[in-house]
Formats: sequence, C-alpha cells, structure tokens
Amino acid sequence: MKKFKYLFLIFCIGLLACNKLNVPPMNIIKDQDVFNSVDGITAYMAKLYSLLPVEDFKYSANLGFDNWNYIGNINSYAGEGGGRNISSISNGNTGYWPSAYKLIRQANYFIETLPKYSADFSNNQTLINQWLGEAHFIRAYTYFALAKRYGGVPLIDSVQYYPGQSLQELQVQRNSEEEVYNFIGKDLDIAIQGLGITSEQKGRANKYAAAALKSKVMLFAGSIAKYNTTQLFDKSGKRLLGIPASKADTYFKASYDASMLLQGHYSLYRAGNPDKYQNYISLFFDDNSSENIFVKYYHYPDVVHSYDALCVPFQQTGPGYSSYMNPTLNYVELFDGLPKNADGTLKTQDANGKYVLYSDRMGIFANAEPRLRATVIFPGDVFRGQVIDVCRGIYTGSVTNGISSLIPDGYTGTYPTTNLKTSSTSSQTPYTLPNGTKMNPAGLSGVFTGGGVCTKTGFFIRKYMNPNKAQADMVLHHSDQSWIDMRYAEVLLNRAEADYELYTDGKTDKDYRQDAYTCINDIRDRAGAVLLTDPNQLNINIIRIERKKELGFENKTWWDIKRWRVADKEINNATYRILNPFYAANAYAYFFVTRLQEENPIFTFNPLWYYEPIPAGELITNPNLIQNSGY
Amino acid sequence: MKKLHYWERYVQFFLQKNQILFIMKLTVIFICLFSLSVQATGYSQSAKVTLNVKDVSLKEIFKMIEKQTLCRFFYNDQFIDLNTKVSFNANDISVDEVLNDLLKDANVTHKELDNNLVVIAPIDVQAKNTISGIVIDAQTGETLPGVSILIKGTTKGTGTDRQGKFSLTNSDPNAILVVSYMGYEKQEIVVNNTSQFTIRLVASIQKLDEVVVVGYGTQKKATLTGAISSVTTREILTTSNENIENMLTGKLAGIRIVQKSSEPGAFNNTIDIRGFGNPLIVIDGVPRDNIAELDPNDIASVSVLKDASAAVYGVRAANGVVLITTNEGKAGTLKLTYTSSFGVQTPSGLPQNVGAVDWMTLMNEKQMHNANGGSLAYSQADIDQYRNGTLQSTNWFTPVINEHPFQTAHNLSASGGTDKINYYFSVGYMKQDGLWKSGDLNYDRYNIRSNISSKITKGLTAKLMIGATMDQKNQPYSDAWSIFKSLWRQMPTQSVYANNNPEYLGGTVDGTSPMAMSSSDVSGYQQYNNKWIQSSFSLNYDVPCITGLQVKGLFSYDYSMSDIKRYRKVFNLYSYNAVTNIYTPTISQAPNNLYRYFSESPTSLLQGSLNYRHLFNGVHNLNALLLYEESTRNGDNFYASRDLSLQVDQLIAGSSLNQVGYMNSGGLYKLTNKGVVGKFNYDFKSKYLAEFSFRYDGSSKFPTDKQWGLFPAISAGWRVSEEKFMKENKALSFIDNLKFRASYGKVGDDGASSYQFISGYVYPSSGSNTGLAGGAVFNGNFINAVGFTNLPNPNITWFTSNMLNGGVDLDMWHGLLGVSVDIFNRTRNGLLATELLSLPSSLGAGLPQENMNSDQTRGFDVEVKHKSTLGKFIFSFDGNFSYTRTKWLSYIQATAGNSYKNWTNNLNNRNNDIWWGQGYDVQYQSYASIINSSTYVSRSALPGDYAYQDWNGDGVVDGNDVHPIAANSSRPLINFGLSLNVKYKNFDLNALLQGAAMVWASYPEALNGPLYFNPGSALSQFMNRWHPEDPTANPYDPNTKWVSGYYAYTGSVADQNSARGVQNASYLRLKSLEIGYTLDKKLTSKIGISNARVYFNGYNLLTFTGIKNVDPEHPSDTYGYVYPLNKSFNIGLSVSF
Repeated sequence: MKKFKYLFLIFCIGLLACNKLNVPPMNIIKDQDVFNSVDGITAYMAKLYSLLPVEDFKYSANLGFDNWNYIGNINSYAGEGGGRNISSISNGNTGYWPSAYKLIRQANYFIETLPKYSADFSNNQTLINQWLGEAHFIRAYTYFALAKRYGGVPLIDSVQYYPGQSLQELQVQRNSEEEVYNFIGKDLDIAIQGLGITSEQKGRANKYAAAALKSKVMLFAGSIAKYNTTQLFDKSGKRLLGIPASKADTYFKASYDASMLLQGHYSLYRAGNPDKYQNYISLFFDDNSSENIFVKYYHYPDVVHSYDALCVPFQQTGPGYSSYMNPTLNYVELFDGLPKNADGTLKTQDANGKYVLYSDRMGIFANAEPRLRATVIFPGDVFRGQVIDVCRGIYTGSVTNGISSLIPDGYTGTYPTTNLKTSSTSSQTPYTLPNGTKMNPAGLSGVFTGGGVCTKTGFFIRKYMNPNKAQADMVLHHSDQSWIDMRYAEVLLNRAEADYELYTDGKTDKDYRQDAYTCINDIRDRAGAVLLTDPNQLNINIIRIERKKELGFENKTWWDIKRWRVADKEINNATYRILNPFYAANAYAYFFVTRLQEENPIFTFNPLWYYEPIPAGELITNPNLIQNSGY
Repeated sequence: MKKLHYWERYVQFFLQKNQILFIMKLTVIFICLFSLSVQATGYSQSAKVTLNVKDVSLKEIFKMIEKQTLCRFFYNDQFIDLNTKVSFNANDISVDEVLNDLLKDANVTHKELDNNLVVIAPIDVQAKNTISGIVIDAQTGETLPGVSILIKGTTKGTGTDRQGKFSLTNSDPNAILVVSYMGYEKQEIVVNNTSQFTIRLVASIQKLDEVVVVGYGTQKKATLTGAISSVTTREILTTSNENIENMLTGKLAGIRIVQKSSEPGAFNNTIDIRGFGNPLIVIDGVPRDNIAELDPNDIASVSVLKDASAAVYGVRAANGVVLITTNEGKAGTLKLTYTSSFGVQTPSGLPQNVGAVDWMTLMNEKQMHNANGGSLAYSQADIDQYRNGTLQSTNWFTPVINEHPFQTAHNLSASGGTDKINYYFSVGYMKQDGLWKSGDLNYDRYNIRSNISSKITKGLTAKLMIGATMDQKNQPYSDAWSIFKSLWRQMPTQSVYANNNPEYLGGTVDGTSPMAMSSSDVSGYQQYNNKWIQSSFSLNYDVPCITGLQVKGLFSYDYSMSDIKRYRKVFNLYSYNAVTNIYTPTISQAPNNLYRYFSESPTSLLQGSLNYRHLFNGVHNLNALLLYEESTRNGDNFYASRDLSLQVDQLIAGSSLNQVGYMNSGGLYKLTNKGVVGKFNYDFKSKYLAEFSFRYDGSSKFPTDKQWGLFPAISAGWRVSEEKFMKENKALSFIDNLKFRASYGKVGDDGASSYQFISGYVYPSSGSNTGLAGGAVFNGNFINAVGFTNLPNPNITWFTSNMLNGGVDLDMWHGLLGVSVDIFNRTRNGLLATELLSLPSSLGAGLPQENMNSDQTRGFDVEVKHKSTLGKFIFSFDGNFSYTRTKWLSYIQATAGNSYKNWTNNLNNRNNDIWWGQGYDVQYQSYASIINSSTYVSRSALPGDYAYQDWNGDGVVDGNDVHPIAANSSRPLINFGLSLNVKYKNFDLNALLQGAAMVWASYPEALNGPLYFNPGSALSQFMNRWHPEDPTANPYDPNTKWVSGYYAYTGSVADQNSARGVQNASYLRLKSLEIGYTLDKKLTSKIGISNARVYFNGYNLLTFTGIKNVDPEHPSDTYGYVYPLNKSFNIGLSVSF
C-alpha cells in the first residue's frame, strides 16, 4: 500500500516539471544574422531580385507577374501574336501597385540598414557602395515599372513605420511624372557610380545594367514628354500625368549619354555561328553572349517557366499545352525578303489573280530575312528536326486554269466548302490524291476547324524556343532558359531612337543622324537584313519598325507603341491577318491564302489605357491619391 | 456456476495465468514503475480465506467467511443441511473453492450476486416453484444486470445477475412482477403460470439519471446547467459510413457537419458548433484531432459543449468543444462482439458528358454565337457520321469509372471485467474503394484499442488507454479532381485509344488521358500513410480520510506520423497518322520522379487534479475540481525527391540531377499551453443548480507579458418541476421535468496567431517554382532568399469570446414528449485583422494582425423527443433544428470613394456572409424582348440569354447593380435532422431524415456552362438550352425560330455571382435507413451466441433539393471538380457471444 502512495506522489510531483511558455518560433531569424555576412547579403539580394518586375516568360497582361500562364501575354496585346484564347485586349491593369511598394520598402530598408553593419565587412567602402548601388538599381527598376503604368506616383525613399508614423504621414501624395523619372535617373546614377564593371554574381546588376536601364527609362520619359497628350493636375497644380514637351530633349540626351556608357563594353552577338539565321537563334541561348546586359536566370526545378510548352507547335506537344501564341502575318510582313504587294502585304497571287503554287511551302519564304526565320517558324520550316506541318486543307478543284481567289479580300466568313477537304480535329481521315498517295487534309500542327489546339495564324514562335529540349519536356513548368531582360541591341535601338529624336529636334552638337544610321546598320547587318545605304533613308518610322523586328516577342513592343502614343491608331478595330497554306491536290503543290483571322476577334486600344488606373483599393486607403484621367 | 464456453475459459485462463506477463507489459509501457496485482474474476473467486475448523456447522463457517471477507451469505435457517457439522482445513484459498468443497454433498447450491452477496438455496425447492427469466433492453437486446424484480404487494424480490438473469421462488400463479431499472420505464408483468420470461425494458426518455460527459468530468443530465448535446454509440451506429463525422450528421442539435466528398481517405468534411468555427476535439480527455479516423464501434459517447461550459478549455475553446469518449469495460463476464458490413457505393450526382452528335451541335452553336459573323465547325455530313454509326461516339465514363465501388468494415471487441479490473479491447478494419475502374483509388484502415482500468489497491485506480490507428490511402499519381476535370473535358469524338488500338493510349488533344491518369500502372501513384498512437495513463486516488476527495494524475503521450510517397511515372500517349500508319508517341510526365515526405507530431499532456464530491445533509450537493494541465505540441517534417534513372519506385533509384531535400517550414513548430482549471458545481436538492468555473490559461504563441489570461464562466439552473407547487399540482402532473438554464462565460482563441510580435526574416522565403519564386538564380544556382515578416505587433494576443446561452428542458407524459430549446449569443472581440484596408499600401510592408474586429453569432437549437410503445411496436423520434448566423459588429476598414461603394464595402453591423451579386429576372424570350429591354443590351445578346436586374434603375446593368442576393457562408445556416426508431418483435428500423436550408452554391467552369475548355467537351445537362430550331440558322437573324430551354444558347453562361448562377442548395434527404433483424435468442443461445443481428443500411438514399445536376453538398472547391459524394448500400452482421 505505502509504496503505491509514494509512487503516486512522485507521479504528481512529476506534473510540476514544467515546460516553459517562452518558446521561440523555430524559423524566424534576425537582422544581425542577415547583414553580417556575404551569404546573408546574397540571400537578401535573392529576395530583391526575385521580386524585381521583370516582364519575362511569366508576365501576362491579364495575370501580372510571376504567373506560369503566358497565354494572355503582352505580345498578343501588341498585335505581334495571336491565338485562339485571345479575343480581346484590356488596359493590362493587374494591380501591380502594392507589390511595387513592398519591393521599394525592402530596397529602402537595405539602403538604410547596410551601413550599420559595414564593420562586418571591414568597412570596405567599395563593397558597401556596390551593394548600395544594386539596391538603388532595384529601386529604380521598380519605380520605372510604376511610372510606365501609372505616371506620377508617390516617391518613398525611406522606410516608413506603422505604428510609429501617423496615418496622415503615410497617406503620401502622388509626385509628378517628371519627378518620378528624375528620381529614377538619380538612383541609376548612384547605381552606375557604385556598381562594378562586372556583376558580383551572374544574374545581378553591374554598372552597365544600370546604364542600359537608364537609357531605356530616359527614352521612355522623353517619348512621354514629346508624344503624350493626357494631362492630370492635382490641386496644387502639380502635373501628375505627362511631362512638359520642353523637357523631351533633356531626357533623350540622358538616354543617349547612358547608351554611350556601354560603347566598347558590349557588342552585338556574332560569335554563335557564321550563318546569320543560326547565329540569331543562338543569341538567346548563349550564356556568354557579348550582348547580354541584364539576364533573369531560371533553373529547373527550383524556378521554372512554361514558355516551350505554351508555344510549341502542336505536333511536338509534350503533351498538353501547345500553340498558344502564334505570330500574326502583320508582324511577318514587317520584314524584308518576302514577295510583297504594293501595299506591303504578302504577295500570294500572280498578276492574273491566280495563286502562286509552291512545291515546298518554304518556297515563299526562300529569301526571308534570317532574323525573321529565327523569330518565327514558317509553315513547312524545320524545328527540332521535324518539318512543322501547317496546312489549312486540300483543294480538290481543277488547277488547269490556275486557282482563283477562294475568298475575297477582307472577307470575315468561312471558306466555301466546295472543293475543300479540311479536318476538324487532329484525328484525321486521309484524302487520296489523284496519284493514289494518301494525305491528311490538315497539317500535323493544324489548322483544325473544330477549335482544336493548333496555330491560328499559320506561324509559330521560334525566338527563345529551346531547340534542344526533349519532346517530353515540352510540358508546363519544365523550361528554364534565361530571359535576356536587357541586351545590347536594345541599347543600340534606344540610342538610334534618341539620336533621331534629337536630330529631329534640331540638336546639332553631335551628328546624331549618323550615329542612328550606324546603330541601325549594325543591327541589320547582324540580322542579315538589307542595309541602309545612306543616313538620308532614315526616318523615325524605320527606326521604330527596326525596333519591332529586332525586339519582337520580347514583351517590349506593347510599351513602345504606348510610349509613342500610337497604340490607339495601330489597334483600332483591328483583326489581324493570317496565312493559310492549302495543298492543291491536282497540282501537287501548295498555295497560300492571306486573310483575316477566322475567329473574327476585334481588337481596339482605348486611348485611356496609356495610363492604367490606380487600383481602387489604393484610393480608399489613401484619400490623397488622385485617380488617373478617365477612370 | 454458469457453464463456460471454451473461449470464455480460454480468456479467463489467459487473464489468470498470464498475470505476470500482463503486468510486465504494463510496466514496460509506463515509465512509472508500478507493480500491479490484478484479479480478473468474481469476488468469491478472488477473496481468500483461511479455515481450520473441526465439527462446526456450515452456518458457522459462513459467519467465519463473512468475518474474513466482504462476502455476505443469504440463506434460510430452516435448511437442515446447513446445520450439518463439518471439518475443514485450508490456507488462503478462495471462497468459491471453499463453498464448492463444502456444499458438494449437501442438497443446496450457492450463487454469487452483485455486492458480494452469496445466496445459498436448496436445490429442489429452487427448481420447483421458481419463475426465472432474463431482462434485456428493448432497443438493443443487451442484457441488463442489477434490475429489480419485486412481487407486487410484497417485499419479496430479487435482482438480475450479470447476465441479466433472475430467478424467484413464487407460489402465487397470479402474482404480478414489478420490474424496474434506473433509466428505464417501469414494467408490470402478470405471472399467470408462466415460469420463463424474457422481459424487454424500454429506456425512459427522460434519462434524468443519464450521465453526460462534460469538460473534465461527468455530470448527471438532470443537474446540467450548460448547453450540451450528446449521443451514445447506439445512436451513432445507426448510420453506416466511413467517417464518424458523417455518422453524427443530423443527430446533434447545433452541430453543422458538411460532407464535401466521398473520396476514400480524404475525409473532406467540415464540422462546427453553432457556426463558431473549428471546434476543439477532445478524445478521452486529451485534445486530439483524428476524429475521422476513429473506429465508430469504439466510441461510447460524443458530447458537444456548445456554450460557456466549454470555458474550462480556456484559450482553445472559443469554438466549442467536442468530447469523445471511447468504450471501457463493465464488470461482468467477457462479452465478445463481432460486427461487419459489406456495401457498394454509387456517386450521388455526377454529371456525364454529351455524346458526339450533341457535342458537335454545341460546337456549331458556339461558333455561330458571334455577332461579327459566325461559322459552322461541323458540317451535317460530319454529324451524320456519328448519327448513322459510321463513327462511334466515345463515352469516357465507361472505361474510367466503376459506378459501384466496394466497401467493408469489421470490428471485433472484447469487454468485461470484475470489480478490480475492467477491460475493453478491440480491433477494427475498414476498406473503401474509389470510383476508378483501375481500382487504384482505395483506403484501408486498421484500429486497435485497449482500455484497461484496475483497482491497484484500496482507493487507487489505474487506467491505461491506448488507441492506435494505421491507415493507407492509395491513389493514382493524379488527384481525383484533375481526373474529373480531364474526364469532363474529353471530347466524344476522340477515342480512348489511338486508332482504337488498345496498345496505344490516345489523348494528346488536351494532353491528358483520364485512362492514364486513373491508372497507377500507367502513370504512377501516390500513397498516404498515417499512424496515430494515442496513450494515456492515469491514477485516481480516493483520499481515505476525506470522503469524496479524489486526487488524479494523468499523463498522455500521442504520436502521429505521416508518410507520403509519390511516384510519377513516364508514359506515352499516342497519336495516329492514318497516312503513314504511324503511332507517334508523346511522352508524358517525364522524367520519372519519386517524392517522399515524412512528418511527425508528438504531443504530450500532463494533468493533476483534485476533485471533491460530497452531499451535505442530504440536500447540498457539492462537486469541486481543481486541475492543473500542461501540454506541448511539436511538429517536424522533411521531404525529398529525385528524378529516377531507373523505373523503380524507390529513392535509391534516383539520379543526382534535380534532387530536392527540404522541409515545409509551417510544419515545424513547438507550442506549449498551460492552464489551471477550477470548477464548482452546487445543487440544492437537485432543484437549484449552479456552476462556476474558471481557467487561467497560458499559451506560448504570445509575447511574455501577454501569455496568460483568465477565462471564467458561470451558469445556473432551476428545476421548477422539483418545486412543491409543481409536484403537488395535479393539473401539472404530466410534466416530469421542467428546467430553466442560463450560462455565461468568456473563452479565448489562440488558433490564428503565429508569432506576430517578433520582427525578423523567415528563411527560406516561401515561394513557388512555377509562380513567384522564393529566391533567385545567381551564378547558375538557385539561392534561397530571406522572406520578410510582417511588421511586428508587440501587443498581439488571443481574441476573446463571450458566450451567452439560455435554455429550457421540458419532459412530459413519461417520455411522450421531450423538448429542449436553447438560444445563444456569442460575441467575439479582438479578432485578428490587419489595417491593410485602411493603410496605404505604399507603406510597403505586410501589416501585422491586430486584435481589432468583433463579431456576433446568434441562433437557437431545438430538440424534440418522443418515445412510446404501441402493442409490440416501440417508437422513438428525435428531432433537432438549429439556426445560426454571424454578423460583424465592428470591422476595421477605410471609407470608400462613393456612397454606393461605401454601402457595399461596409461590413460593420452586418451579416458576414452576404453574397453580393446581380439580381436576375428571366431569360430573354424573343428578339423583341431584347429590343424592347428597358436596359442597355449588348449587340451580341440572343434569345435565351440571362437578363439581369437593373437594380438601381439607371438603364445599365453593371457593377453598380450588385446587391445582396444570398448568404455565402458555404455552410447551411439552418440544419435539421429527424431520427426515427421503430422496433417490432425482432425487427428494428432506424431512419434519419436530415436537411439543411439557407445555403447557396455556385459552380464555375465545366459545371457552369458547356465547352468551357477549348478544346473540351460539355456536360449533358447543357443540352437543355435555347437554340434555333434549325441548327444551321444564323442566330442573329431576327427571323430565326427558337426552341426554349433551361440554359441560354451555347456560349452564354450565367454570371456565377448572379441570382441565376447562385443556386439554392437547401436539401432534405434520407441520410440513412437501417433495417435490422435480431435472430431468435432461443436459437442463437444454443450455439453460444447471446445476440445476433443482421441489417441492411443505406446512406444518402434519397435527396430532395433544388440544386441542379450535383449533390447539394458538392462544393465549388477546385472549380467543382471535387470527387463526388456517394450513396451507399450495406448489409451487415453483428454477433455477440
């Protein structure tokens, strides 16, 4: 009996062997663990760079940043590409505002905190300045992402606290658009000063990345000053949208100067292959390219995108997604080396209005500019060792007198069903040609009339498509090619444009037109395009088209046509043109029909959209904000 | 002695002979080294005596035994045999053996009753004028021990023994037996020369003496002052389901249980009390969360603390508490019970795809539905190929879905005990198959339980409760929702196999093949293994000098682990080119990959308590408890994955490429809670009732100075029916019980909080490789980033709930009607919220949560009971009805830009579940109704399109017409259930009607309209649509004739947030129906079976609802592709020995 009672007593005392209530969380670390080592700084930088608003393979106009779904990308909005899921465009507002200020705060915090720990780095001022330069680069990059969307935004250059600061202090007013661009310019100057000539690690900024960004931002600011017509003033008379036209040349000059900083340090990529077509393809895959200035890297499986899967021709799907974005004929027609009608459209009929027959579909593209072929997959071209088989149908009618137009110009209806064999899906019933051989009515990659997955324009994208990826990897979340955010060709184009604007505005301190001419020809030479022979041939349009051609499908044209304020003219009740190859059964040859996209989507850019609306929630939480015009 | 069956002997033998082994096991299991002495049989067998006598009468020996033991003898002095002188020598042998030896030659027999009473009776007399029989529960057929049987008008009587048997000498053939037992209706039976009786007692509805499990103890229902609902095992088991939560649905007033899926092993349910949120689940006194995985046969009772009676659980009790107790052995001989059931399931509401002709028709309509000019996708010739049988439409369900998957459940339990030890052992097994024809979706579960309590020594009881569960869910590599999504997307014009050749799986149109996805052989698998071991050891000591004082200590240690394996296997899908006769493979899911995840969460809990229970002067009943409790919860985990170089489903087969070794940082934690609980119950003559309780509770989730809080509760009751004026009033004599109750208390909630008082960084930052990454790639390597925590809030603390409840219980006409009504009001203050809505985001930081908002939940529960007998029919009805709704009292927010937005955005003092959307009028019936529309109509509008209300009358239907159209609480605001039990002779019937009202649902994607995906199929329900009579007619031609339908013309889908898209999901259903037959005991007892019952049980047999095409509980989660709910049909058997 007694022993039980003692044991019971022990049992009860055991209850008092308490656990502590002060249990620290197991996964939270402090400032001093981050700012005292290079590894800690690197981890901080990894955060800043991961949040950087890079409009890459994961940016879409309707879903914003860092979304695998590239389908609604801004190339489609700009008219370069189309697809079966793009039937309208919008102002592209995805509410980036709050994300930007998060990153800005983190850059501000870094700028304010790092100096406190400089002793941990033996007070190495070069190192400290380099990191501070990086933080300023990031802040500038982020403010540019805000400015090009919203115009003038509140400039916050130090860490705010709550509680600690009053609500009134936190309800910061918008700065003028001009102030924002000047602020970005200043930040970039600090970055250019502090950063070294090589990045600390690949994937991070160096001095020239900051300079390239400055050339781009200042050109943007100059364009706004020169072309914008939208105005918005706050009560104090501060201009929130637009920049006085008188400032345009200051910005163009700043852009030019920044571009010149890269002169001699970077060059257009020519080392990949003597063949200009192959070289242009390699440009996007060579990690050591002399052209790469600022690159966002991916690494399977830690951080991936889905570009290959979404853009791959249907016959090479991995399986699943494919053919989501198809270049428009309008884009293709910008290039040289194609048979053209007088109005610049692709010529597919002879003088008698009969279709020109080609035994090989590539025949019509025989002389296409190498850069175009490296940007766009033509019907019948070879990609990843296979002929990309695009065919709208088999024409079974007589060919003895040539084939007349199947449909009239500008026609938006369906093809006539007589003399045509088509396929609604990829499971095809073969058609027997007069010589007895069998042939599928549609190509392996389309066109399928039943709304299936296939090209809707006749083309696929070539640029950035990984030629060495196994077909099994052409699936979502398996791509990790890097995104070249800024390359030297863009800097040259910035420079040429700034040059020409300065030239047009009568600046004569340098021979700006000659400089533009040099830049354009440098690009054209590398592209394998027809060179200009005289600076006199230049005009602003040629420079702009060169930019569209060179930077196609790089998510830049949308912003270009916006800053030039031409989007509302280019995309006005527009349906894009497409190319339909047909096989003439009795001629054993292909012919091409150009027409408007069969689904009849109509795209219109509303001039309001030159600025995006400030997200409604921001206006509620900050009554000092004034909404952009028209929203 | 009763004749023992061989297995009973075996068990008894085992218990006796293996005591040492048994003790050793216990000793090993527990760190506390006790040496237990266990006796496992009747008292007369265990009580030892030493007798050394010569020539003494039997009567004298009886007296000697009485002196040495607690045995008391009952005999008639006149039995001459008892005066026989005998001699006897024995040391330390059992009373039983002594008696057997002494009486072997005498003409008497002995028999031990309860309370150590040994009856000595002459053999012949007993046989001659004896009436005997057995008393059983009319409902369950269980034998009832200790029932009083009196001959009316005399004091002569007896009681039933442990087997429920009795015998009584009686000379009067017209005597009336009065049979009475606590908790049962009294019965009178005329003997009428019958000598053998089977008496069925009906449980009384009042159950005033019924004991209910409450927080940290039990209490008589009669003196309860809180709002507590409870059910016992019998009521639970009338529903047959894989998840005990579904077996509780409709049976407890105020409990909302929503079943979202019947996917095996998913246990996708939500459960809450009165709409409060996730309740605390306490199993056998310890907070535990694996309610769904318990074996329902092991459960003794479920109590739900709905009001301030939950306050004793302090900072974790704000949403109420569900208390579950498992079975324990009762004194009595071993009872072995085996139950098993076998059943088939079938989906409840699973829409199917259209066939090829319909699909092509819809496709044509969609393409024609273009105001800019449409075109036909398919010619009449294309369609005719399917009409005339040239081509076969593919029904994708046939090869993928097994419409009748199997399920089975088995349980074997042994329970019994003596006055020294009680035991309950059980093993259970459950298996449920899923809907895939491949058979690769299934769930297995094994449960074992051992609950033992033993009186170690005088006043000291030790109790050891161990439960273990092991389960495994197998599924194909793809989740069920993605397979349904794929299945609903497959077009009927595509064949399952390329070129219909079974060697080549097709499916490259959308890149998926439900055939491949639903087969583990083809595409790999996922396996989820969980194990729970839950143990508690307690000692309870009755302090000898102070009657009614108990000291109790409890230590519990639970361990649960989860082990996940995912094997992604490469497979080929083929496309066939008829020109070249080549099957082109496309490789799916490359490369092969194996993923393993392991997590564990050990939990320990210590409790020490003092409990004092005393009745002073026969009127003041006091029960006081003081308890200290401390618990620690830990969580840890890691995972690894590798691409495989060999097609072997083990990590060892991995290549060094793309190795991942990592952990889920949310699953890494250590949490400690401590608390002191005090509870004082007082009642005066069971008439005036009062209870006061408090808990001083601490939680490690908060800053040091905010860790502790006091949570008091008070409640009172008045049993008016005990008052003289009621008792003496004849007119009110139909009232058996009338009680008014009220309670008020404060509880806390630390659930939502997570160290927001600390500033710093999370490492590594969270992120997603497919979305915003948690790091960046520098120098070709992925670098983990630091993640920024929100701004700290040093003042963060739990939020508090004030629970107020008022109730009345009324029982009338001896069970014919019982009514219980409760109304409640819970207000919560300090709900966590961020200033996000009122601070500019240019601040740039994640804001800390602050204790700012408050809300109020109000409602009522009603329970109605009826019980009666009509001839041989025994009826009972239990109904319940409850309503709850929550509104924000204050909600931190900024003022909106205009008065309409201010009105729509405002949440203050408004229900928190308002579904804002467009009002809906009708479908446009004609071109004319479109043209004459009073509101602006887009040029693409067609007859059949949905016309929404221009609610503000400005001529345009837009965002400014949005107004409240329904409640968006996802759980019904009204829940009700009605159980019906009928028993007739050997038949029994249990039916449960259950329903919900004030609940709405809206479905997206494939369930909202046809051809959602391009390419993709349509669900057959969408054929009921507006469409032109002539399928090739231009729908925009005003002369086109239309056929009306329920849905709009293909291409127009209902706005999901409109009164059209939002459907009323109220329903009433026959949740369960059970018909049982108990085999005749006379027959079964011959083969040693005390009770055998066979039954049929159906689940979700009938559903009445307004919702279209799916089960009313089907959620819109994962875009509505969730695995469906099921109906099931089971046959079962229950046998007791």
